[in-house]
Amino acid sequence: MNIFEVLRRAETGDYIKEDDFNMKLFTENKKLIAKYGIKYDKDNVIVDSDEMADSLFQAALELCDIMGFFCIDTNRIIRFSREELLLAMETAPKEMVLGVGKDARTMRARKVNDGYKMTVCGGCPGTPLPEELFLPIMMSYAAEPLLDIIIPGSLVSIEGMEVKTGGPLEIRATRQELIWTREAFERYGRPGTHIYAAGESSATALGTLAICNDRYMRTSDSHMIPVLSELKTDNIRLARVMTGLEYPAYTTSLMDPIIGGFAGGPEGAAIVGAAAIIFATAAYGVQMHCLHAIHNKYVAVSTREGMWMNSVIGRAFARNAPISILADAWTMCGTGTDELLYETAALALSQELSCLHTDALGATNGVYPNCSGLENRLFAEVVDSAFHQGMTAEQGNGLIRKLVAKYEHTFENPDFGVPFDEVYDIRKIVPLPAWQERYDRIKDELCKMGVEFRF
Amino acid sequence: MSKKLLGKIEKSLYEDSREKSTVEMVQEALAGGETALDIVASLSAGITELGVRFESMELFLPDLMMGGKAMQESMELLTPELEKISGSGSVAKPVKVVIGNLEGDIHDIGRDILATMLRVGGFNVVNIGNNVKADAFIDKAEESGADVIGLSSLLTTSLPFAREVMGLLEVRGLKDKYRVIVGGGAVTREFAESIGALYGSTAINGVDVLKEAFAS
Repeated sequence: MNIFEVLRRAETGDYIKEDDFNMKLFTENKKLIAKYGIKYDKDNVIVDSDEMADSLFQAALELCDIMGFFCIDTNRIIRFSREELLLAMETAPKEMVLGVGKDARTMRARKVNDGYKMTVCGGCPGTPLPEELFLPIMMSYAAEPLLDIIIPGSLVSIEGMEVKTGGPLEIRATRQELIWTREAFERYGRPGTHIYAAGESSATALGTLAICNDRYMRTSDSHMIPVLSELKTDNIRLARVMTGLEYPAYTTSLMDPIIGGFAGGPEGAAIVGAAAIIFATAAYGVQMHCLHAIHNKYVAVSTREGMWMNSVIGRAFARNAPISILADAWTMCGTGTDELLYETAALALSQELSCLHTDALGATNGVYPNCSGLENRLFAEVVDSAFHQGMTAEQGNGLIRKLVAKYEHTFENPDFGVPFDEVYDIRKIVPLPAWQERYDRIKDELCKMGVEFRF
Repeated sequence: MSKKLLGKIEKSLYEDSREKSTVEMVQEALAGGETALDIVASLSAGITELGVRFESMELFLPDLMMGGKAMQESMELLTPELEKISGSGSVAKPVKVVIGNLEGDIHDIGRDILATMLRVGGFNVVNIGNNVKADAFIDKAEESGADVIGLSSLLTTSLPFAREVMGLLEVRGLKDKYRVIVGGGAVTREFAESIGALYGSTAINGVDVLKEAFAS
């Protein structure tokens, strides 16, 4: 679908008030959950039922037909025919080269048991980082060879002044993030590494426009175009689509179905999340999707509900319409804690065994700068192990049950850990002994549980 | 029979009721001679259970919003009766809260949850929506006679506008007139403390914090 037709429909589609759209979504989604028999299983968060996955995909298509994609600026519904949606899915890329030269990595639209493991994105999505720690933190990711692509954090200040949405510093911050991220790559001899979701501080279209230059975002990088919760867009998002078309970097969507919100529980959020992926493919023409389950109480993706939602969506698309989906991996706890590492391992297993890629770890739900390269290393190592030892969904579920038992109790009162400079030597960019020892100990524990690390 | 009706009023806030709306049942109860205080007790029990079921994810945001609306409409119906009972001509004036999302932020779902929870908690809420400029929060508080200004943001880059609200309150000589509470995905306790505002870690916690602040 070309962007002009999308814009035309955003001006001429059926009129509806936003509140009515929300309530209609809730009512109709309830019916679809019952009709298609979608059922959340808290003890088996990796979904290996083909029937459930296929039902979810059909339910999502039906929800797209019923609801349409709502433009909040015009109060109009952008409608697509079933054929248009399926054609968009069919023509979306099944394989992409991200990055350049020797540092390029191939990202594939995963299928069930296709013989490929995920593309691992490292970094700290959505995490506010202070100026003085930005480069060292990005260096800690660049130093990890198992991280295929990297997403930067978000700069909170420039020259000591806070970055404000839509202000002049939004331009400077989005550019500086990329300059420093690239510098981190260069220092570790990987200048061609793909920057995923460039322009983290771009809350408006300003930041995205500001980085459309080879000095900042290269055409081999990608930028992000969110779908608003639930199944909505607006002019800022559509302006980013236009930007992406004319500055041909890769684009990725972002959808954040809220578990417990207008979609309903995990089952409803899964249907809405899948429908959002379909709409983003058709309306935005993105090549990748970032799937981010939001738990209405704890936010974290490491909740059972969050992992299950991501898993069923991953399998649904792998079987019915393969497309590249990167799942966010937000944790409750932060660097320096055992729980962060347990959450990391559970997320790695659940995503690798659900035909997903990952969009990196957002420690402390992306609130504190308590993040580092080391937990990203563990994530990538667990992914590698699960893939090479041929771990099954059943085995993965068994491990996740044990891991969840080790961190779930912290949800009511999470340990946010400590900032980067308290777990890393920021001159040498290596973990401090206490953090390294904790990582080694938990890796040993994982070995005893049955994870066969190769490194 | 009357106990049965009061029980139905309670359940109507958290169970699908296909017979009559909550307000219709409240009208019926009043007409049948139930006291306003007994009806309020049933509504309170119902709204408490609704909150518990929302927290445990048996019920979801739309259920919460519908229950909150039913509670608010019922209370409007009952207020004249409660005023008669109090004898003084009026019941305690509810605390009024102006809430909105800070400039540049359009993530309204969390704010709407808080607005609903505040209403069911007995607060009077003026919800002024998304992308609200710092000065507009204060203008609206002045215009509506509010006691509290509530600032919400999911975006880190919108948080500086919370500091701007605090600065403008000072400049306009209104610093001591309002309590300010801040919450949302990007907000930390440390940030709230740094600007001298109250902090709500979740919608439910936000209600508790304000109740405590106005307990006296």
